[in-house]
Amino acid sequence: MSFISIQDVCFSYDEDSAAPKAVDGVSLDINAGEFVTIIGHNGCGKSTLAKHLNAMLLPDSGMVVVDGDDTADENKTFDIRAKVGLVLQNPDNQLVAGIVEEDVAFGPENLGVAPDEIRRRVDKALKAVDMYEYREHAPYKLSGGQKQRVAIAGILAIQPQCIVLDEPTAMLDPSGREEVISTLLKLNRENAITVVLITHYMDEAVLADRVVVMDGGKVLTQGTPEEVFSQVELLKKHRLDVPQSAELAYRLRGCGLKIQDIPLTQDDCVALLEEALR
Amino acid sequence: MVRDVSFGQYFPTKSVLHRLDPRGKILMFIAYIVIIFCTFNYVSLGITAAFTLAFLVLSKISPKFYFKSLKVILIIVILTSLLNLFYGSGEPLWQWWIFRITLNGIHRAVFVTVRIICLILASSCLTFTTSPTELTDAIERLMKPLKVVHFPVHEVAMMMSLALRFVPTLLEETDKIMQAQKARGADMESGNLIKRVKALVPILIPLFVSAFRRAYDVATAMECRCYRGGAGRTRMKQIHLSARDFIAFALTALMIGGVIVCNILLTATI
Repeated sequence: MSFISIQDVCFSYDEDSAAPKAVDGVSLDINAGEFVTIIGHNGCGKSTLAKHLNAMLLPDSGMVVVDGDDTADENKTFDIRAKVGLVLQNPDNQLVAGIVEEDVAFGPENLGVAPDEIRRRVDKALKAVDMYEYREHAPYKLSGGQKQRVAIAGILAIQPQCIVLDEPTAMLDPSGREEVISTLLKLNRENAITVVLITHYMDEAVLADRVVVMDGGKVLTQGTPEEVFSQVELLKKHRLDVPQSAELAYRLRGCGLKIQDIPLTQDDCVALLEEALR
Repeated sequence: MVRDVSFGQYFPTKSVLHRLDPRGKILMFIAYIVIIFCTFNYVSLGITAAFTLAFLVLSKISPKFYFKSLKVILIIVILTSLLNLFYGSGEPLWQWWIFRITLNGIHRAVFVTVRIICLILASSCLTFTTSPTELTDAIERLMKPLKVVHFPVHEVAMMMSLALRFVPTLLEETDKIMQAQKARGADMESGNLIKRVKALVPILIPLFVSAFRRAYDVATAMECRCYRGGAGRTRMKQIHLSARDFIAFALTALMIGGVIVCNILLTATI
């Protein structure tokens, strides 16, 4: 049984039934402990799908089941939100308190956790994202990457089993992106937290256990990064990027060079080319 | 620039004042405001000014920041002291056209200047040493009795703390919008007052639009973190009265007592 099960979900922001649906018949399973990335164009429905995972939006048809609970069940809404944390794109708008540690405490305070336990959780969450030294800083004085890590700590303090991140690196500079992504990888590996990362950076997508490609509200294809990015033609047809090294290998193959695998990182690419050219 | 505002900021220097119960601090601050307007001679004015200085020293915050907050109200201080200077009663010491300076006027000007400066310093001291969360938490608790008349105490406190949190963010945004509009040729520094006010419109409209978008985002983020109003919430930082709060109360009472005694025993200067 998967941790989150999305079953034939349709959702439209427009009341008009003729209008195109934001999410159009998506079925997807997310297993506990997995690192899944969802990629696609702007407006492909990936953000809308993310909001279905913690009952911020409810499907028009179909259903989303989180750890055995239907998200449409109003009595379970807050249980589901405590299990599946959602981190949004703009780090500024997610920090609600004037001091870092008080912001991280906001979630557990809402859940009515005892003060000592909140303190313990806040310290633990801040240490997990390497922001403990900044616990008494004002959020507006931090860099974008630091703010986003505080936002992640704010979700961690709720102690969710799964974190869904909706383009958390879209507003960050390269070093901020690096900070956030390495934090997520660490959380996934060391704390066994399920991560669903929505992004449009292909180099982030290749780090996942599984990549889901969405287009026009539907799932186009999914599989391991190797499986997905070797379908260069399909992705190109839907005007999606592939990692540069994958594209290089694909083109060279087209020119008659014998390359078996599709490399996803620069190092792999160099190694494969060396072998092919020898 | 616009961002250079120290009022409403918090400096975690961990002084004695930081460790006081915020509820007590607010109540003492209110008592202080009342008493500073009840000083009628130089001895009582001196007592309150001395206490104000003591607060500043105890806060362990660089005087630089206090000066910064004073700078903002400098014009108000000068204006009110001038008004008081020329509106005194009694024998004129100096006279020219409609301007008349009397001894009473000089006293009044000194009193009003010292009072306003003390007031600003004390309120800066309160916000510098109390985090916004503590402050709103204290206000929420102090206003709790109003719940009986169905006053939305928690909601008001939450709105205040969110407003305080977003002051620097919105200032930064104003800065960005101003620069963007300047880059497109907006002229905000020349022309008469009406022209300048009109030049603010292309800044205020995008600011409002983005503030509303931001508000929607913040609400989503709060819901994602299981926010459902004040019922059943707990607090990480518990506030309770301790010995040092009672010492602070005693000192405040001493100040109030001193001012009252001085007012009774000595003749009023103004």
